[in-house]
Amino acid sequence: MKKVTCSLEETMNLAKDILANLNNRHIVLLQGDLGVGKTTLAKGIAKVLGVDEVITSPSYVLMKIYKLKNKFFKRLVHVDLYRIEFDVNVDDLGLTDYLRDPESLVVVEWPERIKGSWPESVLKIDLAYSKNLKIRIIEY
Amino acid sequence: MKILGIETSCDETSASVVEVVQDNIKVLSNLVNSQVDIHAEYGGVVPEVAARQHSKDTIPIIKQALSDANLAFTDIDLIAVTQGPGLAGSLMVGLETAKTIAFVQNIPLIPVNHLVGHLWSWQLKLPKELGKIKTEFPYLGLIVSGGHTELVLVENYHKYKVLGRTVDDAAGEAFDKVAKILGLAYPGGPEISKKAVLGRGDKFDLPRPMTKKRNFDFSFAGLKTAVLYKDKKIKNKNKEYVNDMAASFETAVIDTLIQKLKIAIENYPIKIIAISGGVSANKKLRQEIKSTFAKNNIEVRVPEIMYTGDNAAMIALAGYLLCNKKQAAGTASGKKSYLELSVNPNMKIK
Repeated sequence: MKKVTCSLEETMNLAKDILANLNNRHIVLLQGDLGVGKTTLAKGIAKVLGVDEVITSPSYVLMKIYKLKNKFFKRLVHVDLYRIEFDVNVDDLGLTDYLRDPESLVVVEWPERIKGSWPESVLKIDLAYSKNLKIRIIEY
Repeated sequence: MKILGIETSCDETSASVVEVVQDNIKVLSNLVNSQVDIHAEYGGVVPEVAARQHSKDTIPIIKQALSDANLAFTDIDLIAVTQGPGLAGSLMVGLETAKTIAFVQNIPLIPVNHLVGHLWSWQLKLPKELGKIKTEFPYLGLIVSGGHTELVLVENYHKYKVLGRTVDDAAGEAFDKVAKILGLAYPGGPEISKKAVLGRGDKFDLPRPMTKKRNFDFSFAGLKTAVLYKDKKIKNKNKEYVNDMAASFETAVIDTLIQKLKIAIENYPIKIIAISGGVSANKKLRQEIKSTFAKNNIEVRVPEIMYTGDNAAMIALAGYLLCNKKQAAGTASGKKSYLELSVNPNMKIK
């Protein structure tokens, strides 16, 4: 699916559609440049799932966990690998447990910063700038 | 009264001994062991690595802090330790160490919110210098660091009202990310400032996010994106460009913080503004806030540079202030109460 968004709000509103496309997957990888809207999309996902806390960027703390009251998921795990490389064999973050737990919805920013590989069943979302920088192309 | 402070919330292991005699305060020792070098190879703080390093460093650094103050555990009247917010594993090392010492030595223990520690950091004088604890309320506290941007109304030692905080990136984080866009080193704050001195702050027209809204929340993600938009359009990224962009960005951040402070003083009867946190080490930020509010007869208080980053002296002071005025919950009125304490990585200011 290829979507075009022209504002922060439009990017955020894609969350509902993205969640509808999960098809039993519980790991969402958000790939794209700095400023393209990864955290915005993660905010949208949290909103749809009923998180009422303000979702802030986890760049500094690498991972933030929000409890959910949801039919499918018990928690939202918001990961940002901007500052580190995640080595699946070392698992400095303690992320592996969540990657194995289908009741944890894991949303990962900067997923390319992995040493090793993500589980096979993931929803990959590519975010990119169009020529007009205000317009984003989002594919999943 | 002698207070031992312990701080291990992120990537700095710190211990400090602070003495208070009749509202006169003196930092007897303040040791900070930064793990920056250890984390540099990863390009940032790695929680598991940080926690392991804390468990190696905490006890030696506490011993050193005591010996620098020429004191032993038996001289300590109160232990203050950071309970949150921060990285869970890192916090645990400090808190469990503090609980153990408190239990074995039978010393009262008080858990401290790291952010409350920052809020009071301007009260600390340089080590061995005597200062008087100032008790003027209310004041407006602005905490700006890599992980936090919070505007807090401090009504008294026990009453803190968070007026606003960032809704996306913290101010310090924006500095780091913009530094990256401009090809500068990590951590980005000092690097941007160095370049900014050489550039023109009015060269690039950058937004002042959320300053039109009359609330006190901040947003720095959009400012970062605005820098990126402009950066993508520039073909020749020479030194002059980097200097000008660094200056324009720094100006935009400072302006934004000042605008929010202005809205706050219109709404609350404030005579004092206190800034704290890593970003408060920024010279221009200090100067601009001081000169802006001097016109309004508002006093601006800033911490000594050594207390802008994470440190245990501020935790010791906050522990004293919270404990002195009223026995706070969790002190060693009964051993049971503090042995049940656990860390709170998402701790909020209350």
